[in-house]
Amino acid sequence: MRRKTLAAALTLLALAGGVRSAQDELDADLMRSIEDANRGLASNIALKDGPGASADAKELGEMFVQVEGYFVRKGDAHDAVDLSKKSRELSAEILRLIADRNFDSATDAATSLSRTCKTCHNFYKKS
Amino acid sequence: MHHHHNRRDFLSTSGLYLGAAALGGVAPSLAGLSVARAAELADPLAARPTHFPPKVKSVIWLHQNGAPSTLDLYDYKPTLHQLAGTDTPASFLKGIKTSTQGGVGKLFVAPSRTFKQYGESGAWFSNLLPNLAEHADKLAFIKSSVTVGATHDISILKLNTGDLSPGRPSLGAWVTYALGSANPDLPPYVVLYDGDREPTAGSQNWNSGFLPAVYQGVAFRPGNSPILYLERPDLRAAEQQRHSLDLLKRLNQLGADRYPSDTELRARIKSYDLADRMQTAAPAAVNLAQESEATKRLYGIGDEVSGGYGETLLRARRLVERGVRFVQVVTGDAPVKDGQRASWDAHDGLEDNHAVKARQVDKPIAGLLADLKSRGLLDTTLVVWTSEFGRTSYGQSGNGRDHNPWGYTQWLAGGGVKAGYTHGETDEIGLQTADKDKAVDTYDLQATVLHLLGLDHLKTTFLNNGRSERPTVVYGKVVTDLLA
Repeated sequence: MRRKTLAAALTLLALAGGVRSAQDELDADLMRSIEDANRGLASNIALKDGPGASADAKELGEMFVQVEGYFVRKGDAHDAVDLSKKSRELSAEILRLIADRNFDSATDAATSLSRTCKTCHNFYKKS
Repeated sequence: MHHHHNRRDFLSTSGLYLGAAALGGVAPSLAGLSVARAAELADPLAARPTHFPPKVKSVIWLHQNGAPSTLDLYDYKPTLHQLAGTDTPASFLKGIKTSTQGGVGKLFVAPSRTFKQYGESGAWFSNLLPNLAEHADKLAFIKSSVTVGATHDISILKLNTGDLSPGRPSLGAWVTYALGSANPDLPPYVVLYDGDREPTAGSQNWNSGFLPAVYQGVAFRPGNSPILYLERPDLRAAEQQRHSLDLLKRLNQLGADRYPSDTELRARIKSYDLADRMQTAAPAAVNLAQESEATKRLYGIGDEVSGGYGETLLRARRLVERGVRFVQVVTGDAPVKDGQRASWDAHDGLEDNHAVKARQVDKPIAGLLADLKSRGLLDTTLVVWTSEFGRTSYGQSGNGRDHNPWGYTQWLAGGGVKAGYTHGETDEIGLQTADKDKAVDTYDLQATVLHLLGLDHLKTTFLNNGRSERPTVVYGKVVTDLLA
């Protein structure tokens, strides 16, 4: 019984390790999804499409949680942690502005979000 | 087939409507639909209102092809002169990838380089630009320019279109789309270049991308015949030509009526009409024979190095004088050494290269500024001195410099510009922008240019495949510190 428990624990550990190593690299698909959602957000705000823009902002906020988590785990990346946190906060602000139908301010905030992405890429993008 | 036709009609209607409504910065409305459609269908180049009062009517975009070393022109760095010949301290390299092409050599200063301050602003100019230096107080410098550093072709595309791959409209195309034409007899967007070759990456840098084709730039060839086949052949009478052009127009119009969303066809009809009118207007616009000898000398015309570029800039002045909205001027190659022609791209032999290239542009640009000023045109014209990137503080090949996208200088002059002001700075050796919050990317430069033309870059939009697009993609911030 004890042997079975140990085997199960080792299996779980191995699986967790696999997941962990997959998360050690920032997923290129995730970054592409962020880029797509960000372009969609800019477009939907310009078109004053509240539901579409809200969906994009919400999706972006969730993805920046993943990015922030990655850089926290990575360590020695204070700038990236700060920038992804700022991006997450900007996504939330955009969501509020869209709810208020304040599309002009939402455009400004979305542009700031794009600049934050760009600043981070200047330091951390692998190419 | 019938269904296809209806679908095209629908797409045409909704696309034109939304594009024009977005352009006007107004919420869609039925009244807007009929006005916008009528204007678009009648004349896609009809003059359109700005978002707010403009400071300038025209832009002369001086692209210094090949990327000059602004460290050798405007950005004086005493520390670089002190450290020349030594390795670049690691602290200056933090945060950048230096493997663009040639690795990192010793810090480099060209042996003959000296700097002086000019004007009340005290702006620094090197010994390479003695004529332009006399106009120091007309310029607003951006000494914290940044971009994406890659090959010239890619970074030039970004400078002009905002993207690293072809397909997006150039800034001039957006301006033309947003403002229309101020002179129906000339193209509103003209590209000029000197030398014997079309600029690097060619028409991708003045195309209209997903905007209707009528908004693309028209390239004028250098020399006495800038527009191919402009003159009527000797064997054809004026009346014969009139009849054949009228027939051509009627046939094209039949096609255009059947396929109203075919912007290529509409652009062609427009270009035939324009070519017809240009037979009279364009020769007058580009004919320098009417200019005085003093004016020609002012532009450096007559000098074997500066003459070609001088003629190009004099043509640029004549075009903005006639209401052309956007004149994109690309420096041609100049004979640098042993008759070999070169751009500003001095990976080696920077002393020889920049001595000739600076001589090519110094007097013409100084002449352009003086001429615009004396004619009262500088108040309504924006002159932008720009390049795809700058060059590194460290050397390459012993006597050249590599590409530098991390910190370089550009400048603006003209209406609405805070003349004599310097925005941002590079670090002590001129390698990176010192304060990242003051960094000015190509999108920010474009947003600022559009602002001076009375356009909000966030509201200059076009619906492409269901997505609202703008000149600055998802970026762009007007550099308000540069505004008077």
